[in-house]
Amino acid sequence: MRIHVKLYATLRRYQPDLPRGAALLLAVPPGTTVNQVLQQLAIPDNVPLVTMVNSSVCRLDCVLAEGDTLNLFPPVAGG
Amino acid sequence: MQEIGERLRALAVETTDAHGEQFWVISSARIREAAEQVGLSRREAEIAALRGHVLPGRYVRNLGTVGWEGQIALLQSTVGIIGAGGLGGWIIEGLARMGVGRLIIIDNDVFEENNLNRQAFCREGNLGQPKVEAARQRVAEVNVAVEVVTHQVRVDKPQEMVELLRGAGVLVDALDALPTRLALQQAARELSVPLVHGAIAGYVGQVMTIFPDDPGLLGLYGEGPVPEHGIEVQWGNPAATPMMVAAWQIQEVIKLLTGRGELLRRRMLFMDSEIGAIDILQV
Repeated sequence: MRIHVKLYATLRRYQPDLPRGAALLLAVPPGTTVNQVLQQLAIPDNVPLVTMVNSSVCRLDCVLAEGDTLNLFPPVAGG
Repeated sequence: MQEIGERLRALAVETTDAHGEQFWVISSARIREAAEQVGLSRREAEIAALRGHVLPGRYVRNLGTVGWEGQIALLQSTVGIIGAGGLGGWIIEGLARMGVGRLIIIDNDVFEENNLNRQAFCREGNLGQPKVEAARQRVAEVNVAVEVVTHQVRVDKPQEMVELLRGAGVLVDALDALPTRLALQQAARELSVPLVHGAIAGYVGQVMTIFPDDPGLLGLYGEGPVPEHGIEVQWGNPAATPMMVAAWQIQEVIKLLTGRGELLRRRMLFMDSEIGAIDILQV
């Protein structure tokens, strides 16, 4: 199945060749979780991030479906 | 009040708006004189004027956006701003200029040299001054009608915040640490008031209006322990980012207080000004 992944801010470094603002189109087996996508993108476990699927916050064990968009962005806390 | 209304109208200049409606505009100097004569505060005098369709000249450019009732609502409102640094400074400045009648400002810090690049009230000449004191002075220079209540204390727990913020109709999150922001959301829930969240890091910023029943920051970061800071630790906070996010937060507060527009509720604006992109994420 195919999913889209959008990387924001600091996380863009894990797909440096992706045009800015574009979503990455990824072919993954059915049953793939958010965590497996992070591994496929070589994002280390210790990188703090917020994960959302189709605009809803999700956990790392969330199972993705055909056509889902996974948004990955860093925690932002400055003021 | 009837009497002060007539007195103010006599001191005002008659004019017409874009639709040909007649109204009166009164200068700050005249409204100050009249308020002193009848023993009203500037804010009370401005409200009395607006009720008599006399517009304080300082709000002429607000009128098309907030209207007469909206300007009265702003002057009658209390807003709590937690944090008077990068975001808080610009938010306080903007709310005072719009004519929000009462501001409760909480911040424990004094200005340091590394605040000079972005914090609205930080100057070379006031390093070491408490931020809340500088905020009070600035508001007095910008809009005398605005009453300022300051608390120079560190607040970490929801209950401490609730005690200081009672009476505020809207709270603004201008803090700089995640656990404190989550505590503030809890305080806003206990006070049953909306919270306007804003946060920055480098070129990036986010804004969201959180009502007491909304998941808000819990939706983003979960119920468990959260890190103290985000990517601002690596990326720093340049001058423009707090201005941009503070401006969105001010606009959310004004919409909440005047009942106009559509809020960023259950929607988080995520801005990446490095690539010129804004996304709206459902939360």
